[in-house]
Amino acid sequence: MRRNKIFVTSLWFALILLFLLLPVVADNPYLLRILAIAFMNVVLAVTFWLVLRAGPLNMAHIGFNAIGAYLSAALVMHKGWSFWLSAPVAAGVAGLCSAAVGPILLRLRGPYFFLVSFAMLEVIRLFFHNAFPATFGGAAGLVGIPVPDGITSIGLTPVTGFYVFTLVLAIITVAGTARLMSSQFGVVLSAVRQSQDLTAAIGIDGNAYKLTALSISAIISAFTGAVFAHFNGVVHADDFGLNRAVIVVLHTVVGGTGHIAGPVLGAFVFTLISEQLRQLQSLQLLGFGIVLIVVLIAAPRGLLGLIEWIRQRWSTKASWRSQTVGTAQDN
Amino acid sequence: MFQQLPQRGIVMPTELWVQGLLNGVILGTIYILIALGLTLVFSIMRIINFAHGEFYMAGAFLAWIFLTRFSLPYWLVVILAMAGTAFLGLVIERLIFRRFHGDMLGAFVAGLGLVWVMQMLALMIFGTVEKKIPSILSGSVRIAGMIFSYERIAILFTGIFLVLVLHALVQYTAWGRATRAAALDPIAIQLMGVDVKKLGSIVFTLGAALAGAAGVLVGPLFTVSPTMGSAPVIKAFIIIIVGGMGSFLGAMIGGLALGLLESIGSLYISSAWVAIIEFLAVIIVLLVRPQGLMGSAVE
Repeated sequence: MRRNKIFVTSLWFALILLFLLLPVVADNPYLLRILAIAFMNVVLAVTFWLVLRAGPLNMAHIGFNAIGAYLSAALVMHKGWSFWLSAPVAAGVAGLCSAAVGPILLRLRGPYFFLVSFAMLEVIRLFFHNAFPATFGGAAGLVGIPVPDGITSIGLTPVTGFYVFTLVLAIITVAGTARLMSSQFGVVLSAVRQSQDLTAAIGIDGNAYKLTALSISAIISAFTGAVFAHFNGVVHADDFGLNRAVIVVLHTVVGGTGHIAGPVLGAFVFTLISEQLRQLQSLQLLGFGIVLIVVLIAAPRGLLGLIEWIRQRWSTKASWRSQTVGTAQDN
Repeated sequence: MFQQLPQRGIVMPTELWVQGLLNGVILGTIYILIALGLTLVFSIMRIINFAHGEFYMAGAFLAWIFLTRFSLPYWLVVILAMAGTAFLGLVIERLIFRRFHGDMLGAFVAGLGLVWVMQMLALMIFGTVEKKIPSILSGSVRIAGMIFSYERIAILFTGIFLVLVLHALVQYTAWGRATRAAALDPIAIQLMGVDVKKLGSIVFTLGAALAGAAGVLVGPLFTVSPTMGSAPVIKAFIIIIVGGMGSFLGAMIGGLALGLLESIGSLYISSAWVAIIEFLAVIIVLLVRPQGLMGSAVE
């Protein structure tokens, strides 16, 4: 087991090093932009998964993304703030929003939470679509959002800046979430998902844990939104609707919800694939829908379950051990 | 949805209000038809079909085909469209949702995928151009100086008729008793020898037919498009949350309240703001009663 752990860790480091060196080796703006979007999706999927780990299927995740994008863009464009101030402020506001709405939402369980969080996503989208058109641009959205100041002056092109920024964000988020989940906090979070009543019986306030997870994920989601807004240059309320929210769910479920590697793998692989299929348009969404349903029915543990299955087939000798690993992953 | 109705204009205030009231009741009836299917399916299968609005869309498209291509009489169109969406519902239940009996999360995600599949199929078959269903009845009646079109009255009464039929089915048949019992205690009803899977299949099919009927009914009022199911299904979600999951009465009250709130509210403010106010109202209701107005707590 210990050798296995060292192997996995060194694999991660090699991967990170590879990605960090990539812009130096291959200065291809198209490739860098796609990878940057993939990193962004990894951050969103992992933070979505963090809340899912505690139980709730939070459809408002992309709503917090919209709050970060719009607030940061508006602060920079109308108030002349620096990105380095506006993005944390926007993320903080999203965190406050989640801390305000969260206690009400988290009193709801299962279907009630899902449906209300979905309604909340819709309301946030409608808000930015209709409210304060002078500030948020109404139906046209915000156009011409400046790139974070300082990025070009240190010699990075906007695309390379986007790449490096999202890569660092992804590393911090994945490493932080993995650490959090292996800490006592993460263990309790999983226990709350499995039975909130039982955890309550031993004196654990499950909702407090859920609220912490929700706020962390909202803050990171909003910060990612701000990064996206400033490097994309354009934000549009309809980019933060149901389809976007479902894509995050798709990434997480196709990757596998049993372990943090699931959303990372799912988001990364799926973003690259969907980028190749972009010209198919409506056929693409049709295919995604079918993939999602088929994965749910045929491989409910996602890509991770598939990898585990292949490994099990490979080492029939130690099949009993893989099985225990499999159940350990589910916890 | 409401802003597509032509009633906004400079008319006498009382007339505006009465028209708003009528539109609100029509809208409420449509919402009730969609929400009842959702709530029935929830009470048996313990899942929520996120793609329920797509049956509404399918019903409207079927009505469009039957009315414009085959020019069938309206009553036959209603029956055929309901049969068509019922069949669609049966197939989808067999292929997908049967496996997710009681698995809330799996059913949500499968429903999300199904929304894409059905919307994109409709888009590929019917194209992006919005369809208009021709008026089914012309003429209007003048009551106390106010004009009511026959079409709207016919739509309203068809909707109320369907709700009453469902109510009678649930209240007075053996099947309805089994459904109500299964909603109360799914294990006890199995001990009594009732096949809950089969019951789930029946309510899913019935729910699809009701949503299809709602699609047929709104056809002449709104335009028909592949994405038309998204907005009303959100309203249906709000209705079953506020009314209480699995509650027939709750869905009726919630649907009517929402329809009236929307049509009266739209006289004064834009429909987007009405949606935002609705959401705040939902939050307030849930603060007081987390299980909805008529619901019992779910685990």
